[in-house]
Amino acid sequence: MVAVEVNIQEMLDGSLANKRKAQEALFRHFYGFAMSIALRYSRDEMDAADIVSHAFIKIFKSIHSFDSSKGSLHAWIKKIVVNEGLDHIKSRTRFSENVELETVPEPQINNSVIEQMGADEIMEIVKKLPPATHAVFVLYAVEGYNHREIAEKMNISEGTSKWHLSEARKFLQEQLSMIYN
Amino acid sequence: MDERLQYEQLIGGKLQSLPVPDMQDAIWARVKAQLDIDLPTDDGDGGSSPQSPSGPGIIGWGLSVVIIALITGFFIFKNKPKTKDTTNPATTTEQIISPSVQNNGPPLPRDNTIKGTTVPVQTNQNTPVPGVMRDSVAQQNLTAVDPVSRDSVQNSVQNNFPPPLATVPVPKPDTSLQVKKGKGMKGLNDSDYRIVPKKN
Repeated sequence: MVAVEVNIQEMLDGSLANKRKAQEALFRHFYGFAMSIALRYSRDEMDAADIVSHAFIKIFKSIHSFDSSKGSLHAWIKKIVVNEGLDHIKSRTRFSENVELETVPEPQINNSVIEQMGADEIMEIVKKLPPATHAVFVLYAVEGYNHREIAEKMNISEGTSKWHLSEARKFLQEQLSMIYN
Repeated sequence: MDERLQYEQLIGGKLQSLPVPDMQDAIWARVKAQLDIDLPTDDGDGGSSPQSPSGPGIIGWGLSVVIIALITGFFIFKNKPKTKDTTNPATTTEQIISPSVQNNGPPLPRDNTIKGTTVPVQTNQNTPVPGVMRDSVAQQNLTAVDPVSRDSVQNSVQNNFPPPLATVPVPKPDTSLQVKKGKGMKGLNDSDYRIVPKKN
C-alpha cells in the first residue's frame, strides 16, 4: 500500500513537471476508475471514451490545482470525470426547468429482481432514460449526491431534481416489471 | 425524498462494478496528441513523431541524397553535348547555318540569314507585329510613330538577336593544329614546299 502511494506521488510529481511517461502512468493507473464512472453517464463505450479523454486532458492541464490537504486524488479525479459526464449529457439535451416536485410516491420494486440482474442489464435500462433524468438518477443513486448538490451541479432547482428522480423511479419500475412478469 | 431506497442502493452497487472496456491505448493516444498541442514537452517521451531524431532523419537524409544525385546527374547529362561541340569548332559553325539552308531553295549566304531575323520588324506596310497589337487603334498608333519605333525596334531586335557567329564559342588554340596551320595555304601539298636544288 505504501509502495502504491509512493508510485502515485511519483506520477503526480512527474505530471506536474509535464513528463509524458508520468502522465501516461497516472492515466493507466486511474483508467479503470475513470472509465467506470464515465460509463454511467454515457450511452455507449465511444461516449465514455470521449468523457475519459476530455477528463484526463483537464486533469493534466489543471493538476497544479490539486491540493492533497483538501481531499484525495481519487476524489479529485472523480469530480472531474463526473463533471465531464454531465457536460456530455448537457450537450445532448437541454435540462428542463419548468417542472417542480416536492413529494413522490415510492415505487414498488422487488429487490430480489435487481439482485438477479447483472450490471450491464441494469445499465441498459438506465440508458433508456431521458439524458437529464439519467444524469439525476446516477448522481443520486450511484454517486450519492443529495438534491441540493445535484441542483448545484446541473444548474437546476431542487424541485426539478426531485421530479427527474421521480420520473426515473417510475420508468425503472415499469421496465423491471416488464422484464420479470 | 433525499433518502436512497434499498433498490437504489442495490442499483448503485451494481453500477459501481460495470465491466470496463479495454480502450486504454486508444484513449491515451488521443490524450497524448492533445497534450502535445496544449502542453508540449521536451523530455523526449512526447512530442510528435516527425520531431524525433531517428525516423525522419534517415528518411530526410535519404531523400536529400537522392534529390541531389538526380539534380547533379541532370546537369551532367545536359552539359555533356555542349562540351563535345566546343571541342570541334568547325562542325559547330556548320550546324548553326544549316537550319536556314534546309528549305528546298537555293542556299543562302551567311549574311542573308542574319538579316532575316529583322524581317518582321522591317515590314512597315501596316502589318501588325504578331502577338503584340491586333486592334486598329493600336495599329494606327504604331504607324504614326513608325520611323522612330522602327529604328528602336530594329535596334532592340538586333540587340536581342546577336549574330550567330558571335555566339559560337571560340575554341582554345590547339598546339597540334597550329603546327599544321603554319605549313601554308590550302591546296598546297608537302611536296610543293620541297626545296629542290637548282641544277646548273
